[in-house]
Amino acid sequence: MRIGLVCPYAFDVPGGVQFHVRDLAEHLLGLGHHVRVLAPGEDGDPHLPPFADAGGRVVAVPYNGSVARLSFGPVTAARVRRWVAEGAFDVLHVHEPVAPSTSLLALWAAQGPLVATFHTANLRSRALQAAFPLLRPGLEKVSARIAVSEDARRTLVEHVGGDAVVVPNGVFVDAFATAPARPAWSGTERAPVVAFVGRLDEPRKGLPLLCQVVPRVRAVVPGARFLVAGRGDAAAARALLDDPSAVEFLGAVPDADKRALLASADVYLAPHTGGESFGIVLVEAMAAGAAVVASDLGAFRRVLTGPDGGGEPVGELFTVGDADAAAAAVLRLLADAPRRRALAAAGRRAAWRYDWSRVAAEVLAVYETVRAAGGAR
Amino acid sequence: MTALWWLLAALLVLAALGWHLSSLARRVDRLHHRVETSRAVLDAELTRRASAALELATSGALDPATALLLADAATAALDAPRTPAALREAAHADDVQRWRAESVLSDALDRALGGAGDGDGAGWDAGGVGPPAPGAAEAVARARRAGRRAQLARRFHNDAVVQTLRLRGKRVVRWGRLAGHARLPETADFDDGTGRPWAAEETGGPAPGGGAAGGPGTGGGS
Repeated sequence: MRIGLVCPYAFDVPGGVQFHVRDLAEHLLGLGHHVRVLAPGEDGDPHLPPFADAGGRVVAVPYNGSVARLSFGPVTAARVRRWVAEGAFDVLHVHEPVAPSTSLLALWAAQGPLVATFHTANLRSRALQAAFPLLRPGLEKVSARIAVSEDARRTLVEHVGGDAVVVPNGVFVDAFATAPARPAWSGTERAPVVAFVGRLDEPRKGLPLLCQVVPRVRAVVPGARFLVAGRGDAAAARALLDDPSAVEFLGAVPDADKRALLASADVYLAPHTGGESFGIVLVEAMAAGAAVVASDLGAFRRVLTGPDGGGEPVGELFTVGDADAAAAAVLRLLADAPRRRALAAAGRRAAWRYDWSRVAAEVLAVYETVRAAGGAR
Repeated sequence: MTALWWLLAALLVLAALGWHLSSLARRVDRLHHRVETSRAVLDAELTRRASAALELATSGALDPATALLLADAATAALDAPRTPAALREAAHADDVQRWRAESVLSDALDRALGGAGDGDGAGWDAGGVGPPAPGAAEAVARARRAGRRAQLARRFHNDAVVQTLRLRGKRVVRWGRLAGHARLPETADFDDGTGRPWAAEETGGPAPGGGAAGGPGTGGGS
């Protein structure tokens, strides 16, 4: 099948959508499909993977509460149109279709079978609501909508109307399951390791809460180490701590280091306070074999208890934003090694649900369904 | 001179209005096309599902009682009146009867797949039994795939229908008769097994009881 994937965000800064598009493209290529990716960027951009084409000059724009690296304007629009026409794709799969970048332009240019994936579903923003009459004709061309979680789907149904199928984000479970632990990051009886991966400067990722959890945990287990990996200003984050040495900031780490960190840690703490539609990092931690303690957000709960939300959680959930409850949950797990191991084992099994082999099969089923329909005129 | 200006302005307004109406008509037309093609796909997927169910029933993978019930539901679904291709002429009652048969088949599949094959009663997501198991019986796998494909097709069809109804509900579209004589499309209302164990990655039900904690969680998930 000839598949065109459109990513609205530039690859020079890592992000969930970019990773998703890259991994999906790699997996589909591995299955023998013809895949091209279009993303913002200049020709010869070293950050673009070999299967990606440059969509146009990258502009950093404040959008939806953070700085997004997008590409738009007449030059990009012409490029996108040409790419869509020359690609002669059987299926065009646009990610985050309402992001004002290559995705939105591809939606306008699209002619054939069109699939769109809503990732964060930030559909409640006032700008978007105001611009909706303009976006609707483009969205009406989409023959198949995918939401990455039940939560994302619900926002979509409520704020846009229509419906979507849920296909979760994918993880290469094997890569995490076989990642070697690193002695420097491995916990001991006296000094257990709690890990966190996420941007430091986005409060909703929960670093401020983590900083409140640290002293509460160390009051009981003085040797506990907190390892934090993620981009952002470590100095500003340290200022939130009474004892700056309690947390080791690793900065932005490469993929291999992230896997090693998750494989080494005893407990993975997800202190997010909102805005998560899926929680891929939870799945990664589960795949790597860390016991998970997470905020009781809808998306996290569904990852931990199974898609129908009915199962026994394969991790500890605590009330969103409650540092005492979070610390108590972490301490419970640190004190109970057998339960920790049981949760890690159950988490690893549950993570298989999100393995790319399954997720990509599901995406391909969607492609085949829209291809059979022939797409919009 | 002023008369000429007025005339020009009026022409401009008329042109803008015409453009707006024609673009609306194009959208309605495109959505009708989507409704038709997605309905054709849904019909094809449902036929495939019924055949796969029949195959599963005769494969020997099930106990005789379940197999008989499944075969009965599958043949009933295959025999249910098919809407002719020109679906706008279809009698509404046809669909109702058809959807009833499909719901019964979903039920029978649920019972059959709940206990068949690898025994964990889960579809593409094997509910946490380790790596994807390739050993599951071919018939079971095919029935599951067909069931899932029918769910996808139904979702996409209903999505197209809902958006069409929305656009056709607009006053301009109604008064301007931009939809021509096309019948109002209807959603395919039957139980496709979504949310059952064998298709467990989706659920339409309410969020599980997280008490007060569930509120900020889902509320914040923008």
